[in-house]
Amino acid sequence: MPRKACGNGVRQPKVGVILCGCGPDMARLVNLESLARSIKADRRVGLVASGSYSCSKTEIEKVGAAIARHKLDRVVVAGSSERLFGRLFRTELGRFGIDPSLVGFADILSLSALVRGASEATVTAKALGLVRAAVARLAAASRLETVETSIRPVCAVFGGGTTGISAAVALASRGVKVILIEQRAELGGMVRDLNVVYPSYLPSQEFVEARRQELAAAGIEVITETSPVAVKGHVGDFEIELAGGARVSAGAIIVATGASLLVPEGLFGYGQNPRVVTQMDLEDILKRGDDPGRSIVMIQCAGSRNEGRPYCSRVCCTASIVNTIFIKQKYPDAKITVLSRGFAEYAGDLDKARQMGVEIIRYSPERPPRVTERTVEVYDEISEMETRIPFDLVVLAVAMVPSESTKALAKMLKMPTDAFGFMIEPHLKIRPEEAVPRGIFVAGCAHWPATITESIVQAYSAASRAFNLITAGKVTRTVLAAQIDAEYCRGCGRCAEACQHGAIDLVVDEDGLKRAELVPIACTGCGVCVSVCPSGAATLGAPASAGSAATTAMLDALAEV
Amino acid sequence: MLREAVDKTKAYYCLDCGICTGSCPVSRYDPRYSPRLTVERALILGEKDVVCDPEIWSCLTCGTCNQRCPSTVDYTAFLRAARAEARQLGETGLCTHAEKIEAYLELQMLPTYRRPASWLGRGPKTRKRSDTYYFPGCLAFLGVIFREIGFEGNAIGRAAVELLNHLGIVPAIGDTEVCCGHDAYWTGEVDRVRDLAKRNVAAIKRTGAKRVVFSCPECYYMFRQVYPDLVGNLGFEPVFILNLLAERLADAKAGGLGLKTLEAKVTYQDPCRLAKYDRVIAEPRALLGAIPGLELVEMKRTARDALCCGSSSWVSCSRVNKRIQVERLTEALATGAGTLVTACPKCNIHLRCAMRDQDVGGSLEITDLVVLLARSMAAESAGG
Amino acid sequence: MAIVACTWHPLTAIENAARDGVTYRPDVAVVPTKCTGVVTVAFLLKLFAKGLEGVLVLGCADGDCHYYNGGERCKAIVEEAREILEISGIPKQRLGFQQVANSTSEEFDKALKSYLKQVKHLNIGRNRVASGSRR
Repeated sequence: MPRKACGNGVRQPKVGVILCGCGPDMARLVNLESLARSIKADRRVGLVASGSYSCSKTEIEKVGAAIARHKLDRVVVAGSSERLFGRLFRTELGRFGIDPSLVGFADILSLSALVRGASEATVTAKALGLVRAAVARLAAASRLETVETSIRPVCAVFGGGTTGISAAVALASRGVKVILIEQRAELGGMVRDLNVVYPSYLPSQEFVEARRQELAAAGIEVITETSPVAVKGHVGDFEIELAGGARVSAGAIIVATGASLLVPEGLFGYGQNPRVVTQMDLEDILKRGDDPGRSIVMIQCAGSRNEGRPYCSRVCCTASIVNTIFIKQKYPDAKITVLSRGFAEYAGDLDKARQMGVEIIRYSPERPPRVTERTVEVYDEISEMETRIPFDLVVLAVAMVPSESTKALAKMLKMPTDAFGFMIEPHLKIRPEEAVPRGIFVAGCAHWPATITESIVQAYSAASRAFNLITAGKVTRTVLAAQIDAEYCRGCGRCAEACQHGAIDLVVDEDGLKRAELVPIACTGCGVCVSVCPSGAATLGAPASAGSAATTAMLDALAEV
Repeated sequence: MLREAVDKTKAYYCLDCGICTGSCPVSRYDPRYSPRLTVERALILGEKDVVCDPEIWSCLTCGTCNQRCPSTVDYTAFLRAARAEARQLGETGLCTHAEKIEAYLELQMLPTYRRPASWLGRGPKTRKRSDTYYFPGCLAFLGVIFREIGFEGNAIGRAAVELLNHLGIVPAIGDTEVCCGHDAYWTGEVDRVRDLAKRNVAAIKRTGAKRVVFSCPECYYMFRQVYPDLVGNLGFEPVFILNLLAERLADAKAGGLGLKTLEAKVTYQDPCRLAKYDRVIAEPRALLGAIPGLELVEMKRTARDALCCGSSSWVSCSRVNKRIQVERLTEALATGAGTLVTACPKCNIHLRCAMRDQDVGGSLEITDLVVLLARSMAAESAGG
Repeated sequence: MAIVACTWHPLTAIENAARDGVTYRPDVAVVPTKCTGVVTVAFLLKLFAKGLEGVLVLGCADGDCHYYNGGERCKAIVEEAREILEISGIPKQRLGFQQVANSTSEEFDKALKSYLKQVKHLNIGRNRVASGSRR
């Protein structure tokens, strides 16, 4: 049975408290002697070391000696913020044998002392509350464990489009073994479906062919007509199961599964009027050499920049303008009107198109164009006039949305996605600092609508980070990881669903019952699994009953303010 | 303290025969838990041994052992005393649902605690003062925290009041009543239960009620079998709604209940507090039998041999409990019924939760009997 | 009254507020948490059970959470806690949730003022322990 027996034999360790005056600041506002006395009165506290500048070398030496004398293994630093002094104290106290995970902080300076308008009594009481809470938490805390995992020197790349190929080639050029997995029979991704690419105006066939040859030259293993159905494991050791049964093992994964285009059913007559097509349909027409017609109306932002999909897909304006230029070059007498809501900065050769006679009309979302059988009626916001344009073809520039494979992979890999389903990769801004690399890198349109150039740059960036990971050979972490007690787990899966770091797998036991299993190397210690667990099987650092006691101590302490 | 319990529950009569352990659903899947051994250890090794044993928190208190013991040892009462003592030493059972239940109870202790009547919705008729009081227990709260598994607490309460209205009774409902304390009682918190009992009795007295109707077997058990020991004479009579309805059904002069057709094949889960701690076994069946078009198919184990829903007082939520629940649901599915009828909100919640979490090889609707009866009463008559 | 703030933007904003001399009611107890997404319903309820009359949860803006979706989780947690407060006779506005866009003291000031405005009619008294237990 996992829970400890009655409290009789097991005593909670005592906590040392460093009470820092932060120079003269604190003493002016807080009654430090009274505070020290009250802290000492807590039976969980073994030592109170008061000082003016506890962060100074001399003070720390004194505290260190006192800690050794009292045989304490955990310390609360009551002074300024953890953010500013955390590292210093952890390092310094570490020299006296205090595990960095057993150093707690109570920011009595910002959170009580410096609060204007408070009486000394209030401030002192508040400070006491903060310290008591930190003591209670620390008294029940347990030591961190070091977890290490080695990194398999193989990188799996999902997606054989421009992004995937670029990443694979970049890695292979550095001597990393790469396995590229593509769901279609042909490589090339979305670019294959284009007519020409921008800014070179090279036929997409040639562009894709050049990429394919790079890939072949690099000797990369390519598996086509399949996609991952299950991914198990963690950074350094991923087990990927492909449709059809093949298995691939990799140390890192690059997701380059791209995006799809929205199918604008019902929008501007698409689906009912055979003359209303998307830009991608137009690319196809032009590639085949067919005549698109002499009167073309292009409607930008179809299905974009509205309430359900407020983002701009960034590449459609360029694609549209490229098409207008291509058409004008081939059919100089073609009349092309582009209905725009304001071009993105990526409008490509907009001026050239204008010079060639392409007309731009500005419309607003409040008054969208109306498409009838053969005419488009639109209110021109600039000239403030209703205009009617007869057409042979209406071309809609539709939104880019995450591809089905991107969405499926996000679920499979338990990668977080944004509100629209694009995969978010942990990066400097939002990555919890204590986490190890997830081992999964996202590049290209799977991440966010991107141009070809941007996709390639992102691919190189992902490849570079994968390279760093693989050449490091192993990752080590000593952050507090959650624990899931197999005995108490009821296999409800709430923790696996809540975990955004892919650190919990739902497995099935021999007796057919589901059970959650933690992947320690991926755990960031955020505690969300603990908060959603209905059976108390998930704990973080202390048994559940101790967590309850710490909460109570904290609340008791706070209620005295 | 445990010594007194041993005396009071006649645990010293234990014959070491093992019938209790043999009947125990927990022991089946968790060999470390044994009622027989627990009693023997208390008698031979001493109190500390039992009180400090974490296994005493595994018991479902279903009472199957009690009714089969040839020496009539009240094992669950003995175990409850052991838990009370363990609590004094700072031990508790598993902390489930991230302490939500505990937190709600703490809110109820605030002097400003009030439960607004809005949970009842419009429709059911109630009064400020009445002979009859309806005690819904924690249905509103459970309805909030278990909404995600489809448990509709308020619907049960509303149905109960509708049924009472149908019988011509306009009950009083209160806003200062608190939890009946069943779970606190069975996890050894006697002082808290006494507090809760006092508050509840006072709240009911204010309405002048002489009779209190319950739709939850655990609340009913507490008021009828435990409160008098804690707070003396209640001053009102606790009545279980199914008994009240069954009485009316049997009363030919009153014209029966006016239940209309509900086509369904159902099976019924006997709550431990009704079938084993009480004798409310025939009444639910009589009521189910009175619904035209309804076919009741019994599970293999029924009435006093029914298998417990697998969780008790929020301290049992492990793989062992899961296996018990899967076993019971499998048994229910084997009857071919499409609906599992429960008469206890806890059975409803626990079995529902198990069905959601694990693969039991099929699915069942889980409906409370009170809700089913209300539906039958409101249904269009077969003749149109 | 208590403020539950995650240690990223919100707590930093409070620290900065102290340094910038932003005034706010001094009896506000600040409870740091790693992420508002792991705050439990029970914890919030217990704060009220202990006698606090107002609790403000401060989280990071959507998309800024270091644990990806903590703020969104917290919204659901706060909603559930509010419902339980309502059925316990405590007006649900007493439990507030605000998101701060960055770590500036202005953001903290704005969030706190916004909450206090919503509960103006409810009179949040000075913290005192709920009936019975202490002092």
